[in-house]
Amino acid sequence: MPDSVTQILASGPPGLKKNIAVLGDGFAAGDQTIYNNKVKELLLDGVFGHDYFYEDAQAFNIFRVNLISNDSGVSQRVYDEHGTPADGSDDTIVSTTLKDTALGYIFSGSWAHCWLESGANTGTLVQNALNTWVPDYDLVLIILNEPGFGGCGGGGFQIVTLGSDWTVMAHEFGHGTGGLADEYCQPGTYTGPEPGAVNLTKNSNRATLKWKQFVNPATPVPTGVNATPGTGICTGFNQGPPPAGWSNDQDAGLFEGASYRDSGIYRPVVNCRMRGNAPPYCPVCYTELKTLMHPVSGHSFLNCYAGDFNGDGKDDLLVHNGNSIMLFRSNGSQLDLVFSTVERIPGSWQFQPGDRFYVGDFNNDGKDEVVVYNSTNWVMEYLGLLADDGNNGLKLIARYDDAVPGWQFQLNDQFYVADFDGDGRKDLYVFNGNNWRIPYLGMLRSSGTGFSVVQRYDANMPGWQMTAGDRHVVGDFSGEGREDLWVFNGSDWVYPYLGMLRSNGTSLSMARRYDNKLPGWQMRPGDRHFVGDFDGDGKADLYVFNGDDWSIAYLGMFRSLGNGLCLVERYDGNAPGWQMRRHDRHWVGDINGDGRRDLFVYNHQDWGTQYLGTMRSNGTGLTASWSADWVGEWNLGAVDKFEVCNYEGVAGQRDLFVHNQDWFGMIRALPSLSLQKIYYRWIHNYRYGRNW
Amino acid sequence: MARKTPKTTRSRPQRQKDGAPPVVEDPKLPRMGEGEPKPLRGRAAVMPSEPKKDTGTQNRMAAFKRGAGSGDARMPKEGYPDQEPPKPPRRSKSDAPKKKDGYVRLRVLVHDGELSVVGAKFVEGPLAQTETVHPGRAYEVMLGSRRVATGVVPDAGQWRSFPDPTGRAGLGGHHITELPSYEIAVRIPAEDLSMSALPKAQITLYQWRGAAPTELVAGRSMRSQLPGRTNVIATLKGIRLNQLPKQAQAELRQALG
Repeated sequence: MPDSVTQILASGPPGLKKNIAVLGDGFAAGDQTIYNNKVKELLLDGVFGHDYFYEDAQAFNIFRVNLISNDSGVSQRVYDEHGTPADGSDDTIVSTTLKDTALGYIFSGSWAHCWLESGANTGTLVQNALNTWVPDYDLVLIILNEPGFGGCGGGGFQIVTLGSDWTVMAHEFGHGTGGLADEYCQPGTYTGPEPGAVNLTKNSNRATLKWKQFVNPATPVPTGVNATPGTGICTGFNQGPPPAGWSNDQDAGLFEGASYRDSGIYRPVVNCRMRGNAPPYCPVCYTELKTLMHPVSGHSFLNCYAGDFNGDGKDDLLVHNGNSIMLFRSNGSQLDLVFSTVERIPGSWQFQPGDRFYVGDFNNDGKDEVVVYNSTNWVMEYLGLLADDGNNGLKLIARYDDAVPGWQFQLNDQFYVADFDGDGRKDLYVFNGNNWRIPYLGMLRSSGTGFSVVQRYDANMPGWQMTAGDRHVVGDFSGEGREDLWVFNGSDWVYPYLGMLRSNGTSLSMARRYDNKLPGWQMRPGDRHFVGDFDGDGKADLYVFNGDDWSIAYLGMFRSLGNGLCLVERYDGNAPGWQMRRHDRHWVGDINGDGRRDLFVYNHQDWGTQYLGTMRSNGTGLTASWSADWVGEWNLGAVDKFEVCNYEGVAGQRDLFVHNQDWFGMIRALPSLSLQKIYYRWIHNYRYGRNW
Repeated sequence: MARKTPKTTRSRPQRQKDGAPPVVEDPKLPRMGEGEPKPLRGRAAVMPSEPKKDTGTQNRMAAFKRGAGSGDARMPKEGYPDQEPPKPPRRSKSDAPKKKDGYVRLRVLVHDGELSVVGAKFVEGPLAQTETVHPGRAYEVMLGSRRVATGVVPDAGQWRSFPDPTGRAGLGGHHITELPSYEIAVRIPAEDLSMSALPKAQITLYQWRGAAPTELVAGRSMRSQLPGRTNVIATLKGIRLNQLPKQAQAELRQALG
């Protein structure tokens, strides 16, 4: 069996990521499964299965190198420690038993000798292996085939035994990745200058404390004072009683004892991973790691999708970044990470930058699933259906490569999520107007575990000649429980057209076609259509806005009669409480939870500042209100994107996720707009303070 | 949110106002209902009420047969195969061979205030350039007065034994061994490093005792930009190929192609 390398975490090119090389020593050909399992246990399930490293896995590549040793197990050395195991200077070698292994490490089990040591050629052998298999490494993990406990780290290297667990390694990665200092305590008083490490200080002045942003004003500073220097203790919270709910690893203060001293130097929390190994990183260490690795991870908030992925009635958040997705669960007022995956998902969907996501309950289980489509990054188009994996994450349950029988995927396929057969499972309409000689529209019915094409229209639909400029919206205008298709074309004919095509579950029929005019409305190319049952009668109605084609902006409210439309209100220039402008953008929601669909409206182009507003329907008209420039701490801007959602889990749909490259906000409309949460660069709920 | 959105300087109505008349976006355009609707320019056709069936054959999807396939994607027992990446574009004969995009990774030994190159490797692909420095150790590579590479060195110069898990007295933390010499990795964009540039390359390893991460101005030396105390740990002024170990010479020659 020759030596080999396998990349077990693939986040991106080595020059853009931190690269971890894993080597094994003392694993003969027959031991490789043990080695592989240990790598998975320690790294993938251990370090990268928890808190910080789970979150930022996209900043790392992991290469597992399988080196075949001639002997099984590693060389052994026995020391006589003369009863002073902490002092290696008086130790003598009792015996050394050498084995023929790939890297020549010698295990001693002596703490003062770093538990293990190099053999005569170990340095060269390690370097040769790295040069051959992982030439651009940042961090190196070497696993010895030795059951006893032991581990030695430094300079980005860690050499561990099979008896080691992942928590110590996570601590060591805190050194190797973040330059974090140890928070261990030993007898002694610190007398040096202010330490450079972010998690150590000699300064006990709250006003100038380097991690003051994370210390609650109610927390005393210092928080833990060593009354008995020289005993080697790390102090806990001893300046009064800790408040109810105090967390020893997430609540920051100023605790005496760190960096091998028990006085004169302080650490941020009682017990961070840099002291206790097992607890997660404290806010100070976490933030340092996040700050360092954020550019490497490539994370942003540009591609966000709302959906209730666990069926608790509250919309969660899916964030897509290149070859990764993350899921954040809403508890009604904040988001917490529950799922993070890089490169692929169980069942095998490989994420890519060109993935497009469509969220809906495709199997009627009360939870949202995700359809993902990619037509740009592979040799062919792929469509996948991702569903709850039962463990807060997603897994692929169906995949179509190049086609669903009856529909050949193409670059510009446009999908619309709609339950067109009324079985409670969302289906897909798909349209392609420009990759074929003629346009196509397909109806892909969901079985809950996959899709089948129940109808396809080639070049035309009943009463409608399809062309490339067709634009579609979906909604049940007939009130029959099936989501119908609306199609508008304002660019390809001498007049604009609007068609209302009723679904019977397996096909469409033209319920009404409007040529040039709607009742009380002259259609123009710039008409924008928004479907929502604004009068609560169970039939989807239509808002139409036009800001481009007339001297003033117009907004019409058209009630569905089941087989046609009637105008109930038209606003010329102004709606009550909102001056309409050319670049108004709209989203449909239900702001007051009365079952009548309302509008969110945003304009960042036409005024001296940005306006975000709500337009609430009473069934026959709208009432608007707005916020200008800021919503709480959110500074509205041109780059902002909005997702209407219900992260609170209340009646209706009155919430917005607002996001751009670095910022993410949670806005609710009561109906006045208020910002409930704001995150910068990453989503983390600090117990106190924040990362900017 | 810390930063204000830059506001436009164009002349615009500044604020919405209750009771204000509608804003006229373009006075040359009519209002809805004024005059007869005009047909769209450049378009002559009216959509027929009974569209004709397509009879063409070229660039069409295969004919649709209702019920031909359920489409229910039963996952193969062995799982789905990997998605297939596109093939790289074929190079035509006239294409001149180009130098590959990539960077050179130098293994640099730190010893007694000096740096020396002990190995080199060319790595294909893009290189992320760090322009943010965190308190701690960092290196820079200067070519003349231009900084061409920077990197942080979060952990170097010591070995630490893992804490004893059985809780034996005195073995609770790390046993630390300070190293007289250690290696760091220095990454330089290949386009910035050539055989002729080697003697002009200056590598410096700093210890910076700053208070918070600092953004650097690209190209300028770190030391001139870092507030607080900056100590030089070690330097290398010029890489002289013939003074390197033979293995390092060979690797560097190969890396620089």
